[in-house]
Amino acid sequence: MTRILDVARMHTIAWVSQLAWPWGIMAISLGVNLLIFASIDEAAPGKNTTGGLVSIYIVCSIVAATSISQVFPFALGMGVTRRTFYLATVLVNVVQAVVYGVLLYLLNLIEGATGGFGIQLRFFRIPYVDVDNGLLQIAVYAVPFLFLNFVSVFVAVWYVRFGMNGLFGAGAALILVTGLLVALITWQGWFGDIWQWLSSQHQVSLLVGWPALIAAVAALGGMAAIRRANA
Amino acid sequence: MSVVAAAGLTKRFGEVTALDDVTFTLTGDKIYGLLGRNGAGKTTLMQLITGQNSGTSGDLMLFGERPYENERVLSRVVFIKESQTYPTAYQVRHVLSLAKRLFPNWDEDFAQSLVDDFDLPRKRKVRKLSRGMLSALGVTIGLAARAPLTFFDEPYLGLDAVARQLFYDRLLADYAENPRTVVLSTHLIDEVADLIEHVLLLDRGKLLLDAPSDELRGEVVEASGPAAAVDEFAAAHQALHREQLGGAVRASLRGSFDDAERTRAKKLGIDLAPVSLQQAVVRLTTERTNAR
Repeated sequence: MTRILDVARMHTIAWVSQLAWPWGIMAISLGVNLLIFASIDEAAPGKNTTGGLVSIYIVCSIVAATSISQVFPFALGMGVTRRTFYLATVLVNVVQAVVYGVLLYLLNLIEGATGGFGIQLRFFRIPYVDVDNGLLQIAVYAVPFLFLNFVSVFVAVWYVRFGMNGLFGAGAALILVTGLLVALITWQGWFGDIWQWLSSQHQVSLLVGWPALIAAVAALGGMAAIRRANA
Repeated sequence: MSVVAAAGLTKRFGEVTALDDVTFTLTGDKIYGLLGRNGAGKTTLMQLITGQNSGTSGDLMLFGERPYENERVLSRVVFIKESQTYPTAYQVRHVLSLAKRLFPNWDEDFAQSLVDDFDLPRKRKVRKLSRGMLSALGVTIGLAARAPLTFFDEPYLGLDAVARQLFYDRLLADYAENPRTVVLSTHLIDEVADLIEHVLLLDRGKLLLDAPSDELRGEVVEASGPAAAVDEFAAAHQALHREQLGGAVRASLRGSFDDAERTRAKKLGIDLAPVSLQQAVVRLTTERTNAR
């Protein structure tokens, strides 16, 4: 376990890119949104929602992917096993998701208490994603980090293991399979049923359950792929 | 117990056979020279031993265990290679701080003194270091880690003569105080000839030679004298190389050159001169290339 923590430091030691960029870019996004919405004279009711929050998730997933392509060869060079490196990576991503989830929840509370920063802005309290239970709200914020990060970690591991051709090959295969699936669904007229199934799902399943499940599958897939990867 | 034991080790990358049925043993507390031309398979061999890659066939043991994904034995090894990459955000001090936790025998005072000796800027980003400074960082980690098995793969690229001498001096001094197994893979054979106690010579994936360096030096001599005399003398030995200038011939010979042989050479009017380790290696590899 100590070794996993020592290896986890490889991800966090240069904390500027790990921490400062995601939050910095989100802060800029928030600032820009505040300026825009403050300059609109009379925002129509319900039209004061923004999707700027997505920036922190995207930046984090990019950081997660680059940390594989950059830290993995270094870790291997320092005599760290693939297994230890991967477990340390999982640990960093899970802890980060929980901490960031809590921080976003606090910002959510601030936004609520200040009347949307005085201008009824809904940057953190996005409709549907805004739930009334505190713990659940933290999970709702945290799970998309896990989902995006583990999918991008899996893609990065795939790239390290199989190279550019492997990456594009898998991408091509994915497009082909999805395309055929969509064609089949359209041909059979199954879209209505699928929509019905989606809308019958509980909010918690859609926001937390299913993304967490996919994140777990991606994490296990990354573990399997990295065991035979060479830097 | 042997530090490394390889038996019939083979590694193929597609059509290319990087290592071809290599068998050898590294014993403890010795400085090895892993020599050979570019593409001979030196780096591949070190990658297999350090678990960075796996062999196609054959058997490989590191401290009595298979190295691939084996934390217990890999934490006793340090592998400093010229091609090591570092994350873009890392500064020199970050790398040192991480290495300190990862290598159980790390000596922090020694590391800091090496950083001072090499004038390494602690707060500079590793990606901004010059080639020589990057090598100095590798050398610092490799020495301060004090790993029971230490690999240096061309560790001196870009290092000036003064810094290289500093590296050799520090290596030798620290090795005397803390004996361990060191493997130096290098092209600058003459520079490290005094350090190397045992030579492993790879050529196109095959292990050409596995011998103590003193023995190797004694085994290869340069004989010069009148053509007829040299050729007569050479008949009893393996001729590695022969060059003729008028009636005089200079030949590199391999064999055993005891006192009787030396007296015989003297009587024939032949001058026997020892060759350097580098010359011996060059002669041995070219002879094999020509024979092919």
